[in-house]
This record gives sequence, C-alpha cells and structure tokens, in this order.
Amino acid sequence: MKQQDLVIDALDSRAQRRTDRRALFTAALGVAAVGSAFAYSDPARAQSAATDLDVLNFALNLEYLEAQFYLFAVNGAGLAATQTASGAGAAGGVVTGGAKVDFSGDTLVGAYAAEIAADEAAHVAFLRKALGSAAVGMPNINISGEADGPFTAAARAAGVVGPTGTFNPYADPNSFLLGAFIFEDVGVTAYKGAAPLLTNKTFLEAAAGILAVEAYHAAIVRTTLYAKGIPALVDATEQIAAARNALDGKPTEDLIRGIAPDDDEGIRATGSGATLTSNIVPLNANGLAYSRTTGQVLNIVYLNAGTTTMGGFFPNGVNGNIRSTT
Amino acid sequence: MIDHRKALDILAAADARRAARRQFLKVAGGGTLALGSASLLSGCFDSEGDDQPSPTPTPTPTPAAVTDSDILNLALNLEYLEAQFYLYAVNGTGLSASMIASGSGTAGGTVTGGAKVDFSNDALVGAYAREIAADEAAHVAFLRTALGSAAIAMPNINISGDANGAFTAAARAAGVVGPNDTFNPYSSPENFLLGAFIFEDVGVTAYKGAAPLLTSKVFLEAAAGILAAEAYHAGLVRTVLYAKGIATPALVTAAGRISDARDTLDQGSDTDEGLVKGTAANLVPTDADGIAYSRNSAQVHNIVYLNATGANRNGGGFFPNGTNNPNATLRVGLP
Repeated sequence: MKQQDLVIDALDSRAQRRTDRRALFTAALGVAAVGSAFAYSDPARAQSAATDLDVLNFALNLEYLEAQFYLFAVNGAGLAATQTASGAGAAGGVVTGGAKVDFSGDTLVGAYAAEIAADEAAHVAFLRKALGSAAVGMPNINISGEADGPFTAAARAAGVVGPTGTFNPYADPNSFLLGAFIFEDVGVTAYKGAAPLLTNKTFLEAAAGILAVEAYHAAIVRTTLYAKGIPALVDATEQIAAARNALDGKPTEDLIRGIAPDDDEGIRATGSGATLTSNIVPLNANGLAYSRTTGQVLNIVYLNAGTTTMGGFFPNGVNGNIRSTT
Repeated sequence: MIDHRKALDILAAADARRAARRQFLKVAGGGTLALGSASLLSGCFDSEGDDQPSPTPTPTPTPAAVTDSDILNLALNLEYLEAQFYLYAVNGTGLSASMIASGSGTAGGTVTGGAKVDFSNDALVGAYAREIAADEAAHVAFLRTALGSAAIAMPNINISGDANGAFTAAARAAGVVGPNDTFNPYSSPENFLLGAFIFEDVGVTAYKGAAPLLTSKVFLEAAAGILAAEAYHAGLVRTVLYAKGIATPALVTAAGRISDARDTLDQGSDTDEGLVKGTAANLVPTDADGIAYSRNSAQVHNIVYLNATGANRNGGGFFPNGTNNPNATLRVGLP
C-alpha cells in the first residue's frame, strides 16, 4: 500500500484506542514512581516500565530524524557516518530524500534553520555520548519531498495539498517552515511525556533541558509562520495539527499531567483588533504543555493511527526497545 | 515477578534526590554551586575557559528540608510577577484580590506600577502580549490550586516604569539606558518586549533548575509543562526582538546587555545569552550540548532582587520585600 493510502485509511478508520489500558499504564507509572515496586509484577504493566536507556534511545531516534531534516535543508548533507553508527560500531541506516533549501529570499528563516540544525546535531551528539555503547544506530529515515514520500503523504492526509498534490518541504522557505512545524511540537510533547519516566536525576535534568530547547524551536517556527500574515500558512498549521491529533488517539484528559484527547493546536489567532490574541503556544487550560506517550509519538512519525512498528518517516521503524505505537 | 533492579533504581533515585536537595540547601545557605551533578561539572569546567574557583560554602545550621510544596511556592512567586507585568501591560489592571491571597486567606501584597501598553501600532505584539498574559494567569491559578491552603500570598511587587522603579534600576545597571535615564516597559511595544525579555529566559532556567527536584512524578510532569510554556514564551519574545532588530539594531544591543547583566547578577558561569553570537542568530540559549541552562533558587533571586552587591540579598528590585516561602532558604539571593 502506498504511504498515502495507509495514512488516509488510518485517519478515516479512527481505530479503537485502548484508552483504558493507556490510563492503566500511566497510573501504574505514577504509583510506581512514589515507591511501590509491585506494579511491575503485572507483565502488561511492566511493558511500559522502560529503562532510562530505552527512553534516551527513543529520544535519539527522534533527534536523528530532526537533525537529518534540518542539516539537509541547511547544508544539502546530513550527519556524518560516525554520528549515525550504533554505540557498538554498527553502521547506521540510510536517509532517503533531503535537499538544500534556497533561503536567499528569506535570510531570516535561513538563519533560524542554521541555528536549529546546530542544536539538533548537538542533541544527537549529547545523547550518543550519554548512551555510550548502548546508543542505537540511526534507523532508515525517509525525509523525501517527492510524491511518494512521507511529507506528501502527511500533507495529502491533512488536506494541505490535494489528493494528487505533492508537498516538498525543501521547495522554498515557507514550505520548509511547515516541514519544521510537523516535527517541533511533537518533539516537545515527546520529551514532556518521557521525562517523568527517567529515574536518573542527571538524565532527567538533561531531558528537561532538551525539552526547553525544543519548545524554543517550536516557538521560533510558529511565531515566524504566524508573523508572515499568510492565511494559507495558518490554515496549513491547523490542518497539520488536526492530522496529528487524529493520528495519536484520544487518551483520557488529565489537566495536571497535560494529557488530552485533543493535544495539538495550529497557530490561528482568536479575536480581532484590541482583542486579537495569538496562539503561538499550545497549552491546556492550566497553561501546561501537552504530553504524548511514546506510542502516540510513533503514531505520528509512522503516520499511522493503528498498531504498527514502522512507517512514515521511519520506513523500517525506530531502533531500540521502544518501537511500537501501542 | 517483581523487577528488583527497577525497585532499587527507584529507591536509589529517591536517595539521589534527597542528596541533591541537601546540596541545594547548602548552595542556598552560602555557595554558588548549581543544581544537579551535570550543572556542578559545568560550573567547574566552563567551556569558554573562565576558570571557576571551587566554592567554599559558609557553614550554616541545617535548614529545613525543601518540600515539593516549597518548590511550587518558589515558582508561584515568579508567576505572580510575570502575570502582573503582562496583565497590566494588556489590561491596565492585574490579578484579582482572590488570586493573590494566600491559600489560607491572608491578603496578598501590593503592586507598585504597571500600565497598559498602547499596541495600536503593533497589532502582532499586542496579540502576543494577550496570549502570554493569559498563560501566566493560568500558571498562577494552576499553582494556587495545586498548593491549596499552602499557597503563599503574593508578596509586594514592583513593576514600575518610573525613574525609581525596578525596570529603570535594571536597565541602568545593564547599560540599556544611561545612569540618569528612565526605562519604562509600558511606553512602547518595543520597550514592552525588552521588559518581557528580562523575565522569560530567567523563568526557563528557574524551572529547569527546580523541576527535577520534585518528588511527585505528577508535579514533575506539570512543572515540565510550565517549563515548556516559558520556553515557548522566551522563544517567541526572542524571535520577535531579533526580527525587529534587523531594522532596529538597538533592540538586539539592549537584549545583549540585559543578558550580560543577568550573567553578572547570578554569579555563576556563562548561562545567559543574547540574541546574537557574533553575527549569527542566537534565538535559543543553550550550552554546547544544545541543552538549556539551569539556575538555582539563590541565583534566580539574585536576578529578580537586582542584588549586585549583596545588599539586596533578602529583597529588592522586583520584590522590594523579598519573595514569600515557608522555607527561608528559598527566599534569599546570593551573599
């Protein structure tokens, strides 16, 4: 099946979400975290008790994806082979697609792209250093802007382009911003959902620090898109947010932890004139950023609302122990 | 079957957290070490080669242990300050009396200064201001609800744009205005952005420093949610300032001076960055690993108290009578 069909099926079918089990998992994590080790006696619950190394490797997969996208956009080339090999020395996977963006007509966006690319490369390097020999190699990654690539599949399913249209994030600076928009908020919610899983205090503090940086990035992208004053761009962000929302299911709301059935927002402002209010920052009613589980994050990057271990930007799935959407 | 390794990991983590809190208190009592082992190392080995001498903390009597409630109250003080600044800028008025009283009903303090900004010539900045104001008000409400009867009242706050106000003091010290000039963050959208710039990065570093110390995983996740929100805000403000800086380089210069002033006030290694590095955009202040910086409670207080000499160690600047906290170590700046 083509990527496009998979995504459309996924969005249309709205597969039954195992919200009760997810709530059980998260509740088990909460109980376990305050000292009760007995939650792990249940194998079903134990599945969600990932180790610190598992969580960091999960994050590393996402950083590989972001770094490759931004580095190609800025330089026309990606991470060095030494930065994608596993910590044990096995060669990393291949990148399909990626191209240098012509930022000459928008040097501001070019400057932002260069800064973000450097940060993501630094995140890859940091996580690899922290994981040492346990670092997973980069899996195969698809960041192609072609008609059969994941950006097009996502854009068609979201309605950003028509059913036979192509979305190429490398075509121009505005398309690049939309491509970046696909990733950055997801990165924030991924780190936020994963941070409480970490037991090592140093790792936790580092994860909090990367969480903050992903939020800075997301704000740069969202603010820049909004400030351009182009309604089609704003509309596209709303469509992409709706698509991500549809992919990642509808967990039960928890206003303190930032879990919500609707956990994604575009940048459409509300009000007008003296009441015009932007929506740069996607937060819940308590002013808290949203959390996604690792499964929800994979729903999005695999472009599949169902149960799977591969697809979309990771055609063969991510590497490591956390690799399934459920 | 119980995974004993996991159980031991959790207990070890709790031990490590208690040890970190003891270290946090020693810092608060009289040292300049930062929170967390990673920050301790970065304090010693500054990547820019500025050697940091080993701190020699002054021995103090054992202070009360820092609780989750103490940490949330620390955050609440900062949210009161931010919320009042943004609400006045947007509405000309601040938080209601019920939103600043203590959780047990004691009336909150007073706000000196604050004024509505005229955004009529800058619709976008007005839109951003309204959004951020709503977020900060939500943070105040959330923390107050989470703390319940333990919520501290808002302390006296100074957000005045007058010649004798906190913003002028900060701007003069930073060299943003001359020694006899006034800085009024309410007089224009650009000044408002610089005023916002003073707070937002500080909020990020404060939450990054404090959130990992929370023992409740639920509150940790919530604090991470506020950390992310503050980082979004900071990214927004920095992006707007940088873009405006193309036509108005003075904005970028001013932001750089504010950043330098914060770096001086917190006495730590270089943990604050302006909007440019050389000629390159620098919208995201990060260390060499691409990770945001941390500050501990004393460092944050040193900034908001504008405590350059030690004279304002217990209050000054934006909090003329200090912040409120049941734990005295979380109300002080550096000596």
